Amino acid sequence: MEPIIRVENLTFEYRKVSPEGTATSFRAVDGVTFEVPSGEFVAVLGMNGSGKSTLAKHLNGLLLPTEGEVWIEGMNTREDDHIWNIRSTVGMVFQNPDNQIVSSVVEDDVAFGPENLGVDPAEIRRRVDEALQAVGMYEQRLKAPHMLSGGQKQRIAIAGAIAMRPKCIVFDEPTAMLDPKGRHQVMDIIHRLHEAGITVILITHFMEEAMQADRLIVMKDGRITDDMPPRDFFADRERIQCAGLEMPTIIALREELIRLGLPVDASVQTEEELIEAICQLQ
Amino acid sequence: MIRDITLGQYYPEQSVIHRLDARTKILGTLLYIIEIFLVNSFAGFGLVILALGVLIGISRVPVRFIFKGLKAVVFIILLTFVLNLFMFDGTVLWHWKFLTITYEGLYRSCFMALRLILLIIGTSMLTLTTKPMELTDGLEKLLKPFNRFGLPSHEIALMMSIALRFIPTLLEETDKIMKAQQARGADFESGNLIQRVKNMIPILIPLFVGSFRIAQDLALAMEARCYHGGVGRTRMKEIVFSRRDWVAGVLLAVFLGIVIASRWMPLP
Amino acid sequence: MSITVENLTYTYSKGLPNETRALEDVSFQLEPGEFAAVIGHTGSGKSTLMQQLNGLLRPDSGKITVGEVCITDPSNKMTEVRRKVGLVFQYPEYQLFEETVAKDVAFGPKQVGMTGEELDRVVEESIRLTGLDYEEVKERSPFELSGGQKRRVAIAGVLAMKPEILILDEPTAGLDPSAHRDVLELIRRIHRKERMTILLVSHNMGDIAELADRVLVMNRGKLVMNGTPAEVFSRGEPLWEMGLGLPPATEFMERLKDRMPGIDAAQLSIEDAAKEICRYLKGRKK
Repeated sequence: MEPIIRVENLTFEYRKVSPEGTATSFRAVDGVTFEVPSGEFVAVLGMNGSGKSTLAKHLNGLLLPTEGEVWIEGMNTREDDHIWNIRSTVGMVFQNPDNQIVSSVVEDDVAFGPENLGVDPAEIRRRVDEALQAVGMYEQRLKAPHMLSGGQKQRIAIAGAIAMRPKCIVFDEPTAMLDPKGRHQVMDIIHRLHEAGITVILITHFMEEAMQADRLIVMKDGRITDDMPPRDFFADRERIQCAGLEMPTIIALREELIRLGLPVDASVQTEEELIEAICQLQ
Repeated sequence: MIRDITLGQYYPEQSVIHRLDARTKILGTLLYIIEIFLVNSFAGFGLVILALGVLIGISRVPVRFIFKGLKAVVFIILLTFVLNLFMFDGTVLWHWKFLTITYEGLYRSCFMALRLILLIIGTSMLTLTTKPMELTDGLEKLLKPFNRFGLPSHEIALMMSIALRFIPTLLEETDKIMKAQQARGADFESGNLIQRVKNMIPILIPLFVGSFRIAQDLALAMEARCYHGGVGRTRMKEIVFSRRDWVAGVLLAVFLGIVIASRWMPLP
Repeated sequence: MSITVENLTYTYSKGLPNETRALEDVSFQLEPGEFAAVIGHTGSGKSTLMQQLNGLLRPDSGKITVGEVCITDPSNKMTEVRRKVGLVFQYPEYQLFEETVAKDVAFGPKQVGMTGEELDRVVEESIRLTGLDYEEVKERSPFELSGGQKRRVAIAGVLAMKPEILILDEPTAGLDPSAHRDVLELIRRIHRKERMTILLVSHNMGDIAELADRVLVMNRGKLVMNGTPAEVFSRGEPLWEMGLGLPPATEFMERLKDRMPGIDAAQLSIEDAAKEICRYLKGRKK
């Protein structure tokens, strides 16, 4: 089966001019290769500057590689003929909830995508209603966006992506600007989308979110440093530290207990598992 | 605080007027403005006032909202009135030193003031009964025929609707920036005019930079959602003329006829 | 510098259809040098309260005293109040506007009357205090810096006014874990070095448990809890009902307590939680 996303030797370089006027080449993404089969939930983890957001923008052709190729369902992003097809196959939700909303009425904004695709008006109406219900915002469909909270706005953005009936959605740090409640709402929807069969690419710097994925890709300085199931990554203390990221609470607690001499297994990763492991030690 | 400003003074109701196609209302308003300038007698204005009264009644918009629009231009109306009052020669009614009020002056000033008032009330009926989004959609459709002359009707309409969308956001942003700079001791109240303009820089620059940031993000989001101009775009909410629009159209035409006729009748 | 707030009440949009009682009879006191955290759901009044403390908003009734100065007294010069009480808003980097970092940081102190050598000194000190390399950034345009650096410049801009009280509204919002740690470290450094009274508004209970001496809980405009982190975070049920969470370690201990009832769940940090688990298990073995 053709993977839905295929990235080969992707390099993205741009010129940076320093204050003194010297120009240097900066590789935001450096020789990245990976494939994503349909239906997978992939988390891409990395610090700011690791290249994860730049990589994300290659997945729907918003950026084109300096070197290397990106194929979406077999279509090369460099080919102009396919670009609208590619963008309706891979939807994208960005970090800033406000700056994605085009219209002053919620349902009109969700309709923006399908309208661009030239979908029949009655069909657009159907898709908009479904999308709004999927994110739990149907009741607010006639509201103005500035009356909504950050989490609600982000849900509208997700509905806007869903309405285009994509096979894959890339979420570029969707919860970075949200409060805990908003974060929870958005992650909930992401899980439900994955369960419904949509391929999910979640770009994030929150370890806790990454733990919930099927597969973890860690990026540092434009390169992929790890590409494995989260379970394997989080069982490896050194890998976590190398990535330079914050340890999730459960892992940190597990490590502390091990340090204090308790025989807790390194494979313990979730709250339930840790509680169980501790109880076993009684 | 700034959130309290309601945009475009739209007054939500379910009247026939509200449900008219925006295009009907826009064209009707244009016709109305022409009619106001065609009228050359108080009797003519009487007809207009009658028609306007009926319109306001049907629209169910409370009268106090209608007069709110006048508040902003009360000064101009007064100025017009006063200037015309003292400027005309003719039968003198009253004079004091170098100020003379004539009958002709009084007639003219009342006429001009009334024209202004009716102009404002009539046009504010448009914004009171039509949602901003409906207005931009209507304008887009009206301008479409001019595409062949190179007018980018879709782009203009999109710019307007995006502007409408972001006005509340930018107002909030301005509020935040003002507060942040005030917290740093900035003072926007005192000082002469030049001072005050200079004091606006700490607000204007962040606002501009912020707007560019919004524009960049928005453009990216629009591209990601396959925006590629107006060609091939459909609309979820298609605006179509209904029977009430044709009825309104006929009524408007009839009224125009009456107004034109009134010009040739010897009326006060 | 101590802060005393007495019976503060504030309504916004008075007379309009969306009139809201934002603050209702709020009273509390902070000792000089105390580090207080303010938590509450969105709309609970926390931001409004912060803006009252530096005079951006005026209360309908009640009194605020900072040190010896009564802020709510209308005869007080606002610039003096703003100097004493520094307020760093959310996403403060959005307020940068000057041509160079040094000029932007100098804006605040200039507004309150500092000049010449004193001004230069204060600008340099504040920039260094935030962990930035003074020589490297002073002449650069703030717009070419990274997000984390911009935020530090914005904070330096407030520090340069030499406030006696520093209020920070969600200073780590939108930052990645590394920048988050840096800002927290910066706040800790400021607190220790300058001995400022600090008020931190945050959603991050873990940070609060780590840094705060005292926690104020706002709910629908009222101050409903006022105590040490240990005291406040031991009341998980009411906090949860208000839509608030607990520090992650405490959260875990509460769940563990369901299975191991004898354990002391009131642990604020991971280290303490681990110690308590060990202690409990050793106790059971006996």
